[in-house]
Amino acid sequence: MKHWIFVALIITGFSFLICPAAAPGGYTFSPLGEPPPEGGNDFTEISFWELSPRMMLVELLLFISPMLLFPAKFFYSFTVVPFFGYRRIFRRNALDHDSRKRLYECIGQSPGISLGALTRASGVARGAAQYHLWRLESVGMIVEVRRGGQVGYFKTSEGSSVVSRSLYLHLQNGTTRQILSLLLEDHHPSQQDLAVAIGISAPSAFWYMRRLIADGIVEPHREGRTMRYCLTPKARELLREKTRYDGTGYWRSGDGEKGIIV
Amino acid sequence: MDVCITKLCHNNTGGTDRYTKSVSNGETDLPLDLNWGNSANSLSLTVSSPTTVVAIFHDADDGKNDGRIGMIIRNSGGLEPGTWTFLVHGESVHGTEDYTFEWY
Repeated sequence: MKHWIFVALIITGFSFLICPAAAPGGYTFSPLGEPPPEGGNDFTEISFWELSPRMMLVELLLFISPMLLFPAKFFYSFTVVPFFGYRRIFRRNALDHDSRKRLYECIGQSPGISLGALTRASGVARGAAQYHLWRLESVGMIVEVRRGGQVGYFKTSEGSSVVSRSLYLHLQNGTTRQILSLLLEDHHPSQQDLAVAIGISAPSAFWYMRRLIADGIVEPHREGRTMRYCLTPKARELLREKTRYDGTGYWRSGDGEKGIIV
Repeated sequence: MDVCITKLCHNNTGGTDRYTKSVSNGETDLPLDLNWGNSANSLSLTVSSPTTVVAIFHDADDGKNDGRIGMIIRNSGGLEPGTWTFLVHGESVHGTEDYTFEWY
């Protein structure tokens, strides 16, 4: 008896699809390419019982075998294996995925971290990391900040001010970290002092200082014929609040986790 | 809604998520983007106009086997107006698989 019900279901299903109404005319299909940067729109999710009888049957045929819907799909029938499940990404379950959780933790430990550093720290392949970062950003858990040619990732809750995020992005660079260390210890080094202390040329020191000044992290002041530099009050406060320089070559986050090696 | 589907569940909701979208008179394009980012797993997207199944898409149908189905359905004479139905179906999924489904 069950056998006949199954056969009847398949025949009925084919009748829906083989009849003229099931042969769509005039439709063409082309690849979408990259999704628009402004993002997409959600569909309305419905339950099985809200489907039309025709779509209920389509779904039942999909459940039995997707190949029943279009005869051409029979050619692929041997490639279909059972599946276990899938689910949509929401903020509450976004970190259920191991790779995504690892990436999120790395971003928390090193705000402003670049993609390259993130893939090295997390062990997640670059392509997969890009996808998971996109997903985390789409559910509002992280933000991607671009400044000049530099791209860094932040937890949404971390460093929401412009100066704060700029500071974290600068901390990703080893030379800039050394400069900030010196500025934190010595309030008024000159360009020459910085160049000698770090072992870079004076023009290079000037280039770094110009970027830090532009981002509101450092301010210059003239002392006689010498230009000296110091941290802005905001940057000094942020460095003291968000990081702790332990004097041994490491910046550490406020909770004591090792951050960026100088 | 957190959806975890298994084909081992012999009930009517097993294996498929359902979505609808209203299409108005005069619309000619419908760009769709189903993204799960893992080409090892296979999802399909069944697209149905108010009266007929228009297409069943798989990963490689957009030219790339990348865990994403990005397709534009086009009809120069106009898409059939009314409620379109979309079925996201797991054909070969190991463990669980996240996905997003959007239109542009």
